[in-house]
Amino acid sequence: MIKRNAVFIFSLLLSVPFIFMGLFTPGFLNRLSSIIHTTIIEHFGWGYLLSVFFFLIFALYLAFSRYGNLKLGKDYEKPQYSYFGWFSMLFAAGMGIGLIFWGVAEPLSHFANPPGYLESNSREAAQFAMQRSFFHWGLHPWAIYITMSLSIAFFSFRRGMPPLISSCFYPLLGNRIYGWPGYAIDILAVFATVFGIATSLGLGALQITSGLASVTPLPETMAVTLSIIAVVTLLFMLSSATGLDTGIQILSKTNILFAMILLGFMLVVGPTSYTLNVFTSTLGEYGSALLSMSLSTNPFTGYDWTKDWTLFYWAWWIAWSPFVGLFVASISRGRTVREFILGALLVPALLTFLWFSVFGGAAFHLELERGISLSESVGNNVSTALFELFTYYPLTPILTTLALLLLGVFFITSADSATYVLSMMTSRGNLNPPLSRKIVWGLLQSATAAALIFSGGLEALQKMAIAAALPFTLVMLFLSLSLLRAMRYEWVYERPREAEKSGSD
Amino acid sequence: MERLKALARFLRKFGTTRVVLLHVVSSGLARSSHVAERMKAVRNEVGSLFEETEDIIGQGSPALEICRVARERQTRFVAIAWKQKDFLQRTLLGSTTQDVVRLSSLPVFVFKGDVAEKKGDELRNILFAVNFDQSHERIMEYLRTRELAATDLYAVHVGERAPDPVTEQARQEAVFNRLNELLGECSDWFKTLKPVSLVGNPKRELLKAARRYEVDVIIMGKFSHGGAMEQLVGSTAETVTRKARCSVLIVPRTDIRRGEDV
Repeated sequence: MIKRNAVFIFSLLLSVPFIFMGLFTPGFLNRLSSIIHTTIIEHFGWGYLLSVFFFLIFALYLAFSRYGNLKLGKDYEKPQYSYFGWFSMLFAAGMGIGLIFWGVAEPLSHFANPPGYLESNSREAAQFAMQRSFFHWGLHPWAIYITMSLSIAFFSFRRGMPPLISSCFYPLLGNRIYGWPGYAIDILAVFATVFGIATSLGLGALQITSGLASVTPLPETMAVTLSIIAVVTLLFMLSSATGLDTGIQILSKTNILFAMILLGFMLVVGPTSYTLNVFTSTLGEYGSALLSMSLSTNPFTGYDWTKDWTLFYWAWWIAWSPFVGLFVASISRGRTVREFILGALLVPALLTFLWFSVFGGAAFHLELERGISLSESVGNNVSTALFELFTYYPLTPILTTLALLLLGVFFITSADSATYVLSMMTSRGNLNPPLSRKIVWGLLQSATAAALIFSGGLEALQKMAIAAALPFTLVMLFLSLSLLRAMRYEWVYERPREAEKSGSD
Repeated sequence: MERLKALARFLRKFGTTRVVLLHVVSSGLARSSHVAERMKAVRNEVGSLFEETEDIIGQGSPALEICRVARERQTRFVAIAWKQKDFLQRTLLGSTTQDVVRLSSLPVFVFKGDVAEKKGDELRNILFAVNFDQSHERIMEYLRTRELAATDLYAVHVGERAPDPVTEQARQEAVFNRLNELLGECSDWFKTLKPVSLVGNPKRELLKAARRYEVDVIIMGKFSHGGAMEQLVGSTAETVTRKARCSVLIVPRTDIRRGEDV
């Protein structure tokens, strides 16, 4: 019984003490997580940069190598979802809510507080801000997700193993994946996902509360935030109950449409040429500085900035990767490795670049061309940046409502897919996990988020999730080796035999 | 001298009837009269074990000279008495044995005298490293020698684990079937035949198996696929030769494709 549910039981046993610490002694958890987090970022930052750059090279290598022709499923299988459905779900799970949060706030934050070698609020700082926003949200996060999801999809859909991270280690560990080494990998994944999701839900709820307060008479109080969590929980549980094919897909497609409408409106009504200039120019700078940005830790000047932003993001994407990886894998059955990598690497990255250009560009147009300072108010409250920008545009209430709707739906799709992934991971890779398990995880996440907002332990728990990124980086490096070995085996030993067999037939 | 005598006795077990004794000297450094005397002494000691003995004193690069003479004299294999070198010696001075293993297109027998002497020249266990690359036909010639008189033969295959448990099980079954087929061909020459299928790094697993089964000789094929890693760290045969505690017979096959796994 214990062995059957080892991952479920032990991941709960491991997570609950930290959640309780966040509830009852948030100060202690904050000190503990800060020490762990700071030590890791301080001493292993270079390791994150090297590893993430390796994941990008690895993804590109697989896409253009002979393995690119392999299918994530049996050779006769076709993709389960249309391109639009697939991209919508990719985007919703991978970025969605964060992009709404940081679309305006991140460029403005870098603009106001660049590393020491740049002057604040200068045109150089604006250029730097756009370039780094592209960098943090561009190819690298998707390369991390691709490494994870490609491995899961390959081993589960092509090799018939349960969709678990431990399954991907069969070429390296053999039958030990069914023992404690395998459990440890899955438990670590659940640990990072539970903490990551709970804190994301909490932070998302706080942003929705700020947004609502700016367009409605609703006050920015704890009661409103808790009510938002309750409503969202009810909605994502409903979506979760309807399953992957209907719930998340419909919501994600709707949201992409909303996002496109908002993006299109801002592009047309805002400074169109300025925005497109920002897009084109930053794309060029991003492309030419990709290698140096990928590996610059800035040890002589600006290391603190690198720690606060780049290393934080890299650790966050890695901690987030078990969840996104499993989800993206589950929607990618039937695609070839090449199609999967190029699709998941380029399309979401391009959309992200466009998003940052439109919203960041609009903010810089106000700052630099019209002399309206947004960065100061953003510095005070990052979550209001987007709503602040809307006040300088026509149809402000409609734009704010649309953004809130986007936030809400992305919130629901993230929570829904996280519930699905957690249930799948803790039911031994069942692609149709029981509803009861979805309800348990869904309620636990929301309750944790609500309780942590109340106790003030949200950020401390987020740091714990990020701390899990360090062991997970090692897991992912070995995962790449395992995937490469499996693909090589198939190509070197199985392909010739199949060709021989079909030749003799 | 004792080591050379042990080597000569050992070679008899592989059906050797004719030996070419070769000593390579660096030009200008060696005293030719002294070398000739030593060669004569060696010939006197070991000559009686073989039907025909020839001695040659060569000059130049030892590994190249050994390969040249072996080719010209059309010998069946090259036999070298192993001389242990530490890391620094190996790195700075190189190893003639390693070079011969790398360069020779003839089988190379590396004799690690100490082990055989401890057991009184007795040959009990032989490890046959199987790569399913058809080199086993050539290796069989050595295994089916009357004089060998070893008792146990371990046919060891080290393969890559298949990507999933179902394929892995099928692969293991196929490996055992093929190993048993090969062992069947040697059943008249050994008392015990044991198929062993291992997974992992071939160098490490072969060395571990040799220790586990206390083998006296490892017989393995050699194939150079010329990869970058091989250039840097050496082939499996080179590493096994260097690290094994027992004697090793390397049978190179340069005319075949890389080993086929099952």
